[in-house]
Amino acid sequence: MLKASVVVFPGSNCDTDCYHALKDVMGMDVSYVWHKERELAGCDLVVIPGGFSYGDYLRTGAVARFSPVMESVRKHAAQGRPVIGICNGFQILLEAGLLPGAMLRNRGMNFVCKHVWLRVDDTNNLFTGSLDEGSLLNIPIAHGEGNYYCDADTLKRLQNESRIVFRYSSEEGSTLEEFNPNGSVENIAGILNEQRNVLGMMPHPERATEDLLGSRDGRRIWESILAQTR
Amino acid sequence: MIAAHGITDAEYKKIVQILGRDPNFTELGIFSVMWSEHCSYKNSKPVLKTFPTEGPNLLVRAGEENAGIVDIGDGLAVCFKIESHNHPSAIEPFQGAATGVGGILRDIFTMGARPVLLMNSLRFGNLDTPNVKRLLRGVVSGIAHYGNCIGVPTLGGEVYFDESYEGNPLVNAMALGIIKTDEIVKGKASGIGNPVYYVGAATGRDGLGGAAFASKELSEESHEDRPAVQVGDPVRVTFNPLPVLSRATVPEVSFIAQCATGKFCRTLVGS
Repeated sequence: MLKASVVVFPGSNCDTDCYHALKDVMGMDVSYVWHKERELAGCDLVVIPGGFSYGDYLRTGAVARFSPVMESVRKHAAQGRPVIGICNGFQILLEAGLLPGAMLRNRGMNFVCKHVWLRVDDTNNLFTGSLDEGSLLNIPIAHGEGNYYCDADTLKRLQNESRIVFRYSSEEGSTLEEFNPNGSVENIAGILNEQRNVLGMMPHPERATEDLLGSRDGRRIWESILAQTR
Repeated sequence: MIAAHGITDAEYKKIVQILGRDPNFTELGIFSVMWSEHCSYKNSKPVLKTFPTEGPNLLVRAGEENAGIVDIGDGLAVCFKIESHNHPSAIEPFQGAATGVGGILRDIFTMGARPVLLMNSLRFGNLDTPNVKRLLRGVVSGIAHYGNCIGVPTLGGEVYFDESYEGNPLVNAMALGIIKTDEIVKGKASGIGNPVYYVGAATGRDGLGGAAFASKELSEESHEDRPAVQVGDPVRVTFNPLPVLSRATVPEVSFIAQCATGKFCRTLVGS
């Protein structure tokens, strides 16, 4: 059975949802790991959930990256093992340098909370390996700072190495600006690291794992991880 | 000094009658808080008395504790309450509304319930005026900010605009939580000599006088009271994990009280 660790920082608030989705719905062996722990012994998948770690003081994720647990997360990632950072988790991975770029305030300056469509633009990784390229997923976002930014060189690298996994799109897969909820460069919603084992994404797949919540499309990501890490 | 405590001449006479002498400074403070509109609802009581308070599934009645609790079967109950935060919101709309949300959430989780939803009922003056626009923006972002940080969704609410609310907006915050019926925590302290642990974020500059401030009549000078509005600290609230305090894990804890605005007095001194 796949063992997942959901890291909890002071201020994380999507940890329970991640735990529930992975354990009760997907049947994984899940445990919480408090940010002060230094060990992630025997865990396959590290999940860094959303929320407001440290109250977003200074910058989102800026303080969480210094938490003791991040050392183990770093080691886990260096070993090529999977790490997924969702929303604040993505922001923490950016601050920790495990992913390139930075997160700015939404272009509209407002917190946006709604379901969006994501186009899967890379399937050469364990998170979307079981999906078809161009697949469209309906997953909710809830953030005030999801405006992903990176410089021109970084963007070129991400494009050339096909490390942009999700883009905000229309229901038909169009990535025109009007379908971009926060102004992120190239409608980027999720990216991979060089090794392709660390994924950061702003939308919340744990909130789209059951019909009850309006969409099961998030489940396809968990199913892909399960299938690809067997 | 008596007037500064928000106590009328008639009320002061009553205090002297009760004590059989003049009150000292601390006693004056206690009466000021306990008899404030916010804590005693003395002006609203005649209307509130007309609301129903009985029912077949009531586990905790209105007024008994921080919030009411209704049995929903299967060993579960819902715990909910609505409270106003009008004065602070009128003076400092963002923080006033934010701490209103903070306060109502505390009322729920100090009963041992896990908050699952927030709602609100708002009233503002004519939307044409710049001041009302400012209040509306401030209140809505205050509620949003605190709710987002603490991770409890705001599911709905209502808002009405009428000139009668000009300068005197109504900001009512409501919260509901779920609790197992055998894990309800009551807030009545007993036993002399027990230690008191007071946990929480920083108060506004009014210190323990929040209730008296919130009950003052609003006037042009009220903006000077702005420093008295507490700055909300939703992250600090989440740092105090309820499980640590709950009776289930720490049997030595005999009660938990939501100690905002007068509750500190009521809990320790009695009503």
